[in-house]
Amino acid sequence: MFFFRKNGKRLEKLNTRRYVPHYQKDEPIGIYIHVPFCVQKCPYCDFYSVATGDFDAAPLYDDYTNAVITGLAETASINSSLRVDTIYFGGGTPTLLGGERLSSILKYVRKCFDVDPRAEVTLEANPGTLRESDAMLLVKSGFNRISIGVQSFSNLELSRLGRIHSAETAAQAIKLAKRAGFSNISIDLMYGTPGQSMTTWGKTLTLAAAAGVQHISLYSLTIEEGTPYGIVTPPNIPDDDQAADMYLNAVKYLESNGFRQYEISNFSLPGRECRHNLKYWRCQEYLGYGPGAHSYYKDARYSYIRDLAAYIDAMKTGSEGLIDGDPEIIRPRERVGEYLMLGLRLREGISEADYKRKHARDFGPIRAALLPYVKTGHVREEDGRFSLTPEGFLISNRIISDVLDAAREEGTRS
Amino acid sequence: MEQSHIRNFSIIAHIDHGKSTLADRILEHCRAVTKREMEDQILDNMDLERERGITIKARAVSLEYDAADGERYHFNLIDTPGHVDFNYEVSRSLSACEGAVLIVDAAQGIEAQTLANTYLASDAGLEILPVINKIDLISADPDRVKREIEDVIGIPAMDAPCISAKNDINIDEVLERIVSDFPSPKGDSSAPLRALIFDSQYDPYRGVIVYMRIKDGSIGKGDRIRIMSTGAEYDVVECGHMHPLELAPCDRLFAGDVGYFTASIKAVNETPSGDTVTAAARPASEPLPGFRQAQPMVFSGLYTADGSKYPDLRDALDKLKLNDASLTYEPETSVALGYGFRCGFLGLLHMEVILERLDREYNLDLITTAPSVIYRVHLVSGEEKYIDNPLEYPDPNELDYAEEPFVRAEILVPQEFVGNIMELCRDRRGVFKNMTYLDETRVDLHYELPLNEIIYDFFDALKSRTKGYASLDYEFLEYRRSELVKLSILLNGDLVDALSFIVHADKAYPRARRITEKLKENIPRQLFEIPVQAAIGSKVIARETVKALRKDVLAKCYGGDITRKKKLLEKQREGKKKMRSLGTVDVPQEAFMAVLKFDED
Repeated sequence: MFFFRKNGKRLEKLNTRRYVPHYQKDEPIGIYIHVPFCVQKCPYCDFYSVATGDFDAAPLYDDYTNAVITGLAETASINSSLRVDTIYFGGGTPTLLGGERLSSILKYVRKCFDVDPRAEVTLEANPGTLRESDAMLLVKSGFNRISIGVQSFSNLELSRLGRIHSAETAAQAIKLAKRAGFSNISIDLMYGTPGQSMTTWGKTLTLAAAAGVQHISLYSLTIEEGTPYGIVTPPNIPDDDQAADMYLNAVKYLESNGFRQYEISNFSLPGRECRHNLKYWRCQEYLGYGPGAHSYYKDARYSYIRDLAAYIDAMKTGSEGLIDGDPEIIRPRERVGEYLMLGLRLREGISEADYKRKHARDFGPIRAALLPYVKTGHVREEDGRFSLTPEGFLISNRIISDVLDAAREEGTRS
Repeated sequence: MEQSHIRNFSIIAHIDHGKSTLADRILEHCRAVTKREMEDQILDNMDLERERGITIKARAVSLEYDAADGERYHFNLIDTPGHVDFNYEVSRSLSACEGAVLIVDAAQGIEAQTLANTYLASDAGLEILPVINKIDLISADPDRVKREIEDVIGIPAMDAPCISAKNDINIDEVLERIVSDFPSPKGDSSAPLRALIFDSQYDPYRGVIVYMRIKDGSIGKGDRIRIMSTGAEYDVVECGHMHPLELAPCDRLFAGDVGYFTASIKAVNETPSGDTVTAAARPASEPLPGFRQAQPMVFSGLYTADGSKYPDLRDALDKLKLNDASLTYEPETSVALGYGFRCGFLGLLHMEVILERLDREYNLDLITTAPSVIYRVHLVSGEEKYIDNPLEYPDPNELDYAEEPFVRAEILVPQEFVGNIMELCRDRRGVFKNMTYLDETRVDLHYELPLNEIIYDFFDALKSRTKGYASLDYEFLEYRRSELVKLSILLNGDLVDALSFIVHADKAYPRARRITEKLKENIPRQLFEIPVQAAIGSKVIARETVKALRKDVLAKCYGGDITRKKKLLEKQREGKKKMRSLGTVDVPQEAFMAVLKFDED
């Protein structure tokens, strides 16, 4: 069975099914609600979701909502004073649940946790499923940030990606969100998609930068195993060189339009960084609810099973087996690796001071691993911080691997 | 046991015609093993053999058979390896017998190795008993196959037993025919000892177990014996018969019998197959004919992927050598790959088997260099040299001329594929000798081919061009003068010695092009651009470029699934570890493998 530990001491034996926190660091945490429904599955996506486009899913939505609420209530029954300052409804397509259910879950989060009045409350939305009445209800019930899955402003690209919406619908969704009262809007865009060219990508970027949104995420199409694209890869996917050029062009263009890059894939107007996502990259804590949701809490990373029916059932009956596999305990050495791996995804990068203070390690080997990349222009060093340049972000796996190797060697020496 | 009641025989067949299955049935019918004890195909006792369905090392077993005439006969069944790489071993095993059961598949008929093995058996003066197997197959045509045996091999086959070894049909007929058709051994037990070694096996407790056929004289516990080729003498610790599941010691073995002895011998290369054992006190004047040292034909450099595992590779080779006299190796050093061994193999199958055993039994991750044959080079100085390693190939200005080994190859193929095969052989610089029709549909092609052209993938190419129907046998013919060049590979301007190889001048350009393309495909992009060049001497004849890495990123990192990202990154780092740094370039093992298999397309 599984134990929480603090300062090396075993604190409390926990039921693995009810993985409920009882202890809190000084920092407020994030809450993630995974809404595993989509009208239809996109052929490239490997997030957990169930396609509900073909049937009346209302009863299923209700069951799911109740299950999440049960989960929240359980946490609260063990610790009712957890402080929370970000809440994120991701998916899937959260908007499929409708305004009522989303609002009731949010209400319950507020009831179960000590939620900061200025908390960032984000909702992911598919342009094809966003209704104005819902949007207004959501704003009223406290959602203050919306992340719209636009992906592209080219209808050809959208259809080849298997998206259910058009470029026009996407543009309207942004307007609709604004009308409904959202003043913090993010859109997702994809590059390296089938049939995409530098010209069409440039057009998408221009429209995105002019759309009046505060935040833009750029994702490179990744062919994931087990997805339809993983089985049959579509033709005319830009090669790595073309995709790299698309990325670099985008960084330049967005920066010149006021969107600062603060992470490999994320850009925002000043002060509009996604505070919830920053928690992931800054190794801060979050609790996830819903099937397939991930959590990082008190030195443990775990996720719930990717199985909606089993999740609902487990929540109803209190049965075992909610956690997918075993929780991963993050020991100090692992924590060092995560700090480096996640820190180097951020524009703020990593610093010698942080490294020494948080991890009490010698930064020398890390610096030595990074210096060759400083010479090649993939890494910049400024004010004692090391961070990746856009060219460096593009090969971040390579750089991070080298840094982790250096950290590991250092670790075995000490 | 009276000599008149002994029958020494082998079973010979083309691969997959049912040799091991018939051996199993014979063992059962002689009640040597119970069904329960019967693992499938008991004579093949290496895992690898069972998986590949081939017998790599000969084994022998003694059986008692109660014949229809009411007498009890002592059978010695000697199993033979079934592949061309082990021809010499087959011929030694056959020399220990008086008879050979020739199995022919009732559907497939005669194949290349059927012929090759039959020739070996008849060269050894054996009585041959044809047996038609798999008669219960729908496609079986035993009468056609019988005619084929008579026409092609020229032995009577009309009364050949028609059996199914798999389904235990007519096995007794085979056993009776062994009694009636095969001669009993004729040897003089009072003459000086002459025993033919046909196999030996290393046992960690007893030392080498030597399998032998006593031609003359006798051998017993306590005798001092001598190995005739080396003159080394040993005291016999134990002798006896081989039973299927254990060794059965006895006091003495006499002329005509097949058995084993142990004598605290440390390695199998002290008792080479084909050698003669005699008594130290009363030695025979002449050894038995036909002995020669097994000659490796194919050479390759073996290196551990992780350079620090070099001692493990040495230990593993030392252990394999205990049981495989035909494996040779000596240390070699490569600038690119560090310390390794130059290994000699009987052929490509032998090489594959050794590599697989090193991987499987010793858990070694290996990099092998392109296999090479032995070239005979004549230098301007008048000196003559044998070169089995491209690194030692002389500079063009020192070289007068070079010769390469040719083999005589026999390919049996259905008529409709003859064109494909001729094209293949032409492509491999083959010299057509002749072609005969075995029957209306099948053709026997004779070619002379450079060994160099068939050690890589000739067999695979043959199979793929004939839907698997072609069969091949080859033997060394002679050295022939040839226009050869050494092709060197450069990565990022640095010579990679381990990738050089020797090739016929006419093929240098296409091969250079293909090899640079393959390397380009298989070398992952790195931070800088890497030229991949192929050169003869200082002249670059092909060039490709591995472009600099620009994109290697895990784009999505949201939803909080950090664990998965870590795993992906970890996997990538593992991959990096498996690469060898050649100068400034990291090269994965696949790149080396790709170079070996460059003829596949």
